[in-house]
Amino acid sequence: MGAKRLNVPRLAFLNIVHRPVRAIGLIVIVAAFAFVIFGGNMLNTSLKTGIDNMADRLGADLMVIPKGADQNLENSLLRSEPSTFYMEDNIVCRLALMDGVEKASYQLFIASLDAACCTEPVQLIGYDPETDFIIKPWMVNSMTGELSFGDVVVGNLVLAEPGDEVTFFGQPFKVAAKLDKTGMGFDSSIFMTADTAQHMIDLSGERAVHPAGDSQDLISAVFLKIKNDTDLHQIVDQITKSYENVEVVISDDFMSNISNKLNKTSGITYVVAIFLWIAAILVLLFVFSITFNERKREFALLAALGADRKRLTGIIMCESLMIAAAGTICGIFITGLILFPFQTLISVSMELPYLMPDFMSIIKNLFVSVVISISMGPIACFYSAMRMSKTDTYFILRENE
Amino acid sequence: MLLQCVQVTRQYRQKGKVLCTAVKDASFDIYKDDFISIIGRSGSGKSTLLNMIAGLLCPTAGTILIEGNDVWASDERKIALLRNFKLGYIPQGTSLLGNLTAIDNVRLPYFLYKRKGDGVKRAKELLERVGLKGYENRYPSELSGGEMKRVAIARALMNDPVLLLADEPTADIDEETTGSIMELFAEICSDRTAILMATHELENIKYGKRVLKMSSGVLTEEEIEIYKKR
Repeated sequence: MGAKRLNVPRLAFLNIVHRPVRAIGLIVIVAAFAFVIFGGNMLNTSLKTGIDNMADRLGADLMVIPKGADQNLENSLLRSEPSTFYMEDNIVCRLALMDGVEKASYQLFIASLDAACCTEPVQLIGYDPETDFIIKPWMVNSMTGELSFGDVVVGNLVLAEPGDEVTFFGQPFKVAAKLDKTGMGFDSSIFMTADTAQHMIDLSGERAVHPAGDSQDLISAVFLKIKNDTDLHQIVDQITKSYENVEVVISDDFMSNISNKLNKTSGITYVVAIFLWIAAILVLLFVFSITFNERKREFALLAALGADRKRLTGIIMCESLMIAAAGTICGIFITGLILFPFQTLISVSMELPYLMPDFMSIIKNLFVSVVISISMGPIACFYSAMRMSKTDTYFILRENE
Repeated sequence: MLLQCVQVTRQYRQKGKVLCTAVKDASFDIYKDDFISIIGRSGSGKSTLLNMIAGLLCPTAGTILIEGNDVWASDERKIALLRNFKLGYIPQGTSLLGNLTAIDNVRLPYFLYKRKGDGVKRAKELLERVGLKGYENRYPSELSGGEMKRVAIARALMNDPVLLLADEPTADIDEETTGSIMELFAEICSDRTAILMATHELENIKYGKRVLKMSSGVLTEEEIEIYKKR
């Protein structure tokens, strides 16, 4: 079997192996950076995808809810926290008849209980199939036709599949379909027609375990689509003046609040990434510089044996690239190990819409992160390479005599 | 003629002011089967002259021709190529790379430029020739001073040079090892590789064919028989 050729990459590799502690230290620094840059990029992209998706799916311009229920609505939409808030249903017709309102549809939010009566504590959402313009468009990909009485559609994170039965307030309900992932609280929600929801409330009343159990005329929110030529704020003013006990949430404001939170998160991530990038380059520069001093004689010897400056620079560059590449691979591998299997946990803890981007966006993020992370190696050793090109071989060889 | 030095001078300067003249107007020739010893005290300019010939230190004045080519008229890459293809260089002191085995140290100059094969056969032959058969996979830390010097000699011969430049090859080495290294040099020389060796040990001169004496930067050729009779 032939021996390995002693080319530039092999020499660089042997140099790295010969100093394992130094190499591991440098690899850890690069890995930490790659972790932050790739993890941060993925986190931001997932949040942005989640928010874009939420904006697409929300569909309504205004959301009318009981006064003081805005936090409940946010909890329900963003955090999958089952919420219960009610107002009387006679408001729906009046809002639908207002000038400038194109569409109006109500929803009924029921929080199932963490008790023997229910499969799991989730947000149960009843919608009016006749007027709905919010939920039905999402269901197009998952089911055909209308949802029957007693059937439910489950969010992507609910542990049930089409054909299964889920139990709420002691009654089994058939799962008709499962929705695609949305990155919102809806992923942990269960949808049904208002009739089914009302039936569920009745059941909860019979069993006296639900606060809304004894009411027949309750709804949770009215979603309004406003005509294009209508001033949104004028409608809001009209509603708030006419109805004392309701609150109007403007979807754009709601989304912009979430976007602001995202911008803060993104800002922090990028500041940390830039800080770490500079710090990592400085540490690498410092270490390569010290190493260069230690290895001046080694490079001088190579020069004496006939290596030109280009080749010597190549060895230094190759070594730094190998370290940066190893660190980048480790960092990205660790990020992947954390990010992909635990995306649901991350999504919940972020309290923001979180949706993993498509494959091409992941590849793009990966590519950008790899390029930025690996570039640290050559940038950090550039100074050492410059110093070497100005070093006089003869004097270095004589230094240790 | 293999090498021709014409009035080679090297001055060390600081802020434009001449601090000292290490080599002054040195002129001599080397032929293909020469074995020349340059003797002189420490600091007399021997190493400076050797390093100017090796293309590692630029002369202040004068010309160095190797096989008719002016070494210092070439660019950095051509000088590096010359060192790799035409010269074998044995620096003073320890000169092996600690992260490479003996055989890889010997093979190293072979891979600095594109060549066919892995050089293992030639490296093994050279290690055997310098008396280190079976030492192929030992690291420098596992070798004695004399053994390291032998590996450095084998490495200098790897690319079959026309001229071997040895800077104090027997410094800090015991008498017996010194003798065997000098015998090895004599043998190499008989294979038509010329040798130019800087040494301050007069005992080594007897193995050579010519002797040059360096004194305060001035080079003179001396009669070798005088030294051999001592």
